[in-house]
Amino acid sequence: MSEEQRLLSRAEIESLIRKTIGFVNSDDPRTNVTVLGWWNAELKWARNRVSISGERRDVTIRVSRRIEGSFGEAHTNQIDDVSLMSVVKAAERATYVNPRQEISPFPLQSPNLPRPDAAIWSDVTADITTRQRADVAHQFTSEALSTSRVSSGYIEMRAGEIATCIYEPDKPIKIQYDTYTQSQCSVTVRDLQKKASGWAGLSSYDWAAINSSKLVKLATDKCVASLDPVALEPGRYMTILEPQAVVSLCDPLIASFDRVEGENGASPWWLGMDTALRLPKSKLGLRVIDERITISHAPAHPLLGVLPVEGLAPVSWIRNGVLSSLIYNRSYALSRLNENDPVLSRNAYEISGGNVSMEQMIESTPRGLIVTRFSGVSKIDGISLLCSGFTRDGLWLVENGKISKAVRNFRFTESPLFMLNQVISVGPSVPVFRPITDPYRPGVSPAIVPALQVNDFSFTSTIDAI
Amino acid sequence: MKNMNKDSMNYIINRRGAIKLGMVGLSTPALMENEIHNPFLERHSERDLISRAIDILSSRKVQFADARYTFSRDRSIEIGRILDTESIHIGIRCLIDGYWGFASSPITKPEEIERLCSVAIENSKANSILQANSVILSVEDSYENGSWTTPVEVDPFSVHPLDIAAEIRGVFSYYSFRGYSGTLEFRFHNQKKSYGSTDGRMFDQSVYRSTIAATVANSAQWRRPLVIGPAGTGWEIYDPTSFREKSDRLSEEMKEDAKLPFKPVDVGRFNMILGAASTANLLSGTIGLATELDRILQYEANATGTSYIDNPAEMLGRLKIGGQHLSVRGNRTMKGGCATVGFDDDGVRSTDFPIITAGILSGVQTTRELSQLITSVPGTSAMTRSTTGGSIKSTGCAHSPSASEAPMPRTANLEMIPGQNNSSLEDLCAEAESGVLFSDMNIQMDFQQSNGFGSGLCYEIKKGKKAGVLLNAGVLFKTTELWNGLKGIGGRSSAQMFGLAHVKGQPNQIAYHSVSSVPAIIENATIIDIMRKA
Repeated sequence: MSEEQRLLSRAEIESLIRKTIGFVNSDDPRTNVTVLGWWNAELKWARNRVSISGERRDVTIRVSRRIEGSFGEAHTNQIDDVSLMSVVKAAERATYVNPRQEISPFPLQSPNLPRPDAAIWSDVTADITTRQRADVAHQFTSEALSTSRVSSGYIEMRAGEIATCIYEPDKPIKIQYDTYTQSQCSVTVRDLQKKASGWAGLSSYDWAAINSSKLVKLATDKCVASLDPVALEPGRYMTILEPQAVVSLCDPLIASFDRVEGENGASPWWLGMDTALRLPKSKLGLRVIDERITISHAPAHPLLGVLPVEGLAPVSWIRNGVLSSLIYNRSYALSRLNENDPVLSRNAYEISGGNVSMEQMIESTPRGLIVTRFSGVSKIDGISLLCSGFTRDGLWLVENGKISKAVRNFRFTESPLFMLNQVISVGPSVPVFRPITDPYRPGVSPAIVPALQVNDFSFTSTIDAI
Repeated sequence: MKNMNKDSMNYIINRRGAIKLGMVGLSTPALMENEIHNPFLERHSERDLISRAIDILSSRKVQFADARYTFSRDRSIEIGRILDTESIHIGIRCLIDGYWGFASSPITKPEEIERLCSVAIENSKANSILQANSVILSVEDSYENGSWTTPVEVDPFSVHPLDIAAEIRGVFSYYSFRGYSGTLEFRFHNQKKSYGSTDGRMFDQSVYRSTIAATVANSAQWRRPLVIGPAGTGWEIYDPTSFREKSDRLSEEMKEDAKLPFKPVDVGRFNMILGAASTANLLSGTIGLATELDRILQYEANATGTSYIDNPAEMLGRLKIGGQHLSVRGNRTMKGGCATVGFDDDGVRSTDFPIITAGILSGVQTTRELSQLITSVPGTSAMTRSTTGGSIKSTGCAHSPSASEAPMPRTANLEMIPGQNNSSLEDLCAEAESGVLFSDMNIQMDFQQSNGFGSGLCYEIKKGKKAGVLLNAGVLFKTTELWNGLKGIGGRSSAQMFGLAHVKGQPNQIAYHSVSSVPAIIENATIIDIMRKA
């Protein structure tokens, strides 16, 4: 992102926030102002031709106000004085619509919690030129053309900035300013007869970490190996799940780590009532999955960096199979645990790896399936975390330690908890593809996940889609 | 359009206050009541901006280019939370040597327009120098100065939020008076757009979308959603009397259901009766999305997927998707439809066109570019050759959520043609005698819209009446088998319209469309227990 592409400089954003706060009526002015700015480069190809290439940028000013216990919020993307004043007034008037609520005696955050120092800025990502993007796409499409296959894919780079300010009267204005980059690349290679499909993808804050030649080869190899699939009977199979398949089934698990829900019943982590203490009990401290598995997040990990948030401390949700942490806010921490700091949620995570290679997993499989990735995963049940979805872009049968044939896609019905309790072996953890989020809700969700060999994965019906 | 703005105060943009403070001059056009708020346009109207962009693009040897300006407003109100959002975008799209380039920004200054044109052109050229390509656009009927506004009775943004909050409180008191409780949220959207293209099309368009999202709860266990819309309508979506009646009916329905036995679902093949809402979801997933020509031609292969219709030239006019009763039209002119517009994002005047005629695939959904990729199309009215250029015309399905995003093909409103005999849902249950009834089914489709499964509130039907609530019931289906099992459908008076949203593309874009559907009976549906593993 050159200076010309950057919408607002840091100094401009800070003066914008000060100006916005200047419009706040000083009677009762607890006001939050957030400014998001971003530049996005997008290139999409299909049928071996670039179908569109573009650059977008935008800014959002969000004002939220709390007046006498009522809450109001308004957004605009215009930075002139009238717009800024209007957005403040809109947030203010919104508070009159809302009933007064008991103001929580606990502020959301304790003051001055440490902020993780995460590296999520890459000059390579931010400085990529239009021509460089075109060259990457050309590499993908010309490879497919030369081998008579059809390539479709997408690359996206973003450079963004986010500034937040919580304004309270009689306190100095403190503005938190962060920048971030994101990039992603994914490709689907299909044969001309539409009988086989292969996929590969990766995302990282750093475009330099994405090796496009490797992705071309991987997707092409998968496509070639997927030709002439046979229909297998639905059923339970020993299954080798590639990291990309593991991550889409683990997302609902990560989203379930909530302590309040865990103590209220509608959660996999509810244990029951403690009859002596008359308090709800969660499964904290109990072994819930295979003891080889640890699920954690360290915000300062170079590959797991997320946008810095005050108090985002390293966490292990599950340590060696034992449920060890659940999310709670500061009011819960103070009132129930007599602790000062909350445990904050996040989408980024690492699942500990092992040292069994994909080849070794295949060799040790008498009869089973290899899954490249899942599509359309949705949660059916919040307590068992039972999910359903479809296999996509590469599914193979392994017989007697060797890949024997490509298999028609399945619908599956399975729970990540069941999967993580049926682990046979664990591969090394690697970064996987995570789609870049909507720029208006900036957030980074990198994940480092191993391949897993598991028992009795449940495939419930065959599907025709290729 | 009535103006309900009682205190003559625009909510988010308090212009009068701005005048008082002397922040803006009285001479600016944007100061007029209910005028678009756009401080950048004090000297330039949206049309001027668009013309300026088109002039620049025309001088730069593009094959085709268009420019969009949008002003979008969103308001959602519930007790305890209110959110107002407004945004202005300008977007430039150009086609050079077979490659599309795009650029957008929130800034509408002349120098930014110039920059956006250059960026879009640079994006086209960076790709065109690497590989030759050609894109042909359909020749469409021309017009000048097009103008269109969603026909709304009351502009929802002219209703003061405090009045809306008072309405919500009124509904809540009614609920407690009637002995139940609930939640209620209003959502309103308006987007004003100005469009111009290098081939001489220009239009202004203002589109409204309104939603009431409520729930009615008799108790903690008995809670159901009551959703009206989204629909292409204004504040009149809320009719206090009929809304209260609907709430009462839903509460009564839950009391009736509470008396029914709860049963585990019997797995097997049964007659399946679909409420109009279930039919709408199924039509949208199995026919709406599957007939978008970009999916068919693999443009979405790396994203949401492709289609079971994979050879349109062969399949059009031949592929039997469903039984005789199944006729579906794509319609971007349907009254109250979320995808109803005057002009699409290619500048094509909106139209309606056949998709399925008596069970046979008779049309696909296209844009100006896509329409030229079908080589032969037997006897379909929407794809007749235009008198002027000899090319197949677009069905007008290009759409972008705002000028910030590049347009892509999206599903039109779908209109299922009702049955001749005037059957109601009750008649269909009686006709089926035994089976299962899904009143409102959610569906999940594979990445070719071919196989899917549905689940939701399900009743056992015995002797034509509800005999129990079936737990964890679902249906497993293949699109063509499902619709070929269509035995009967409801008549005109049973037709209802539902607003649905879908996410598509890279980057993801959300788009809304409406489906007008009737209840239906499907024979031999595969009923499953969704919680059962293999």
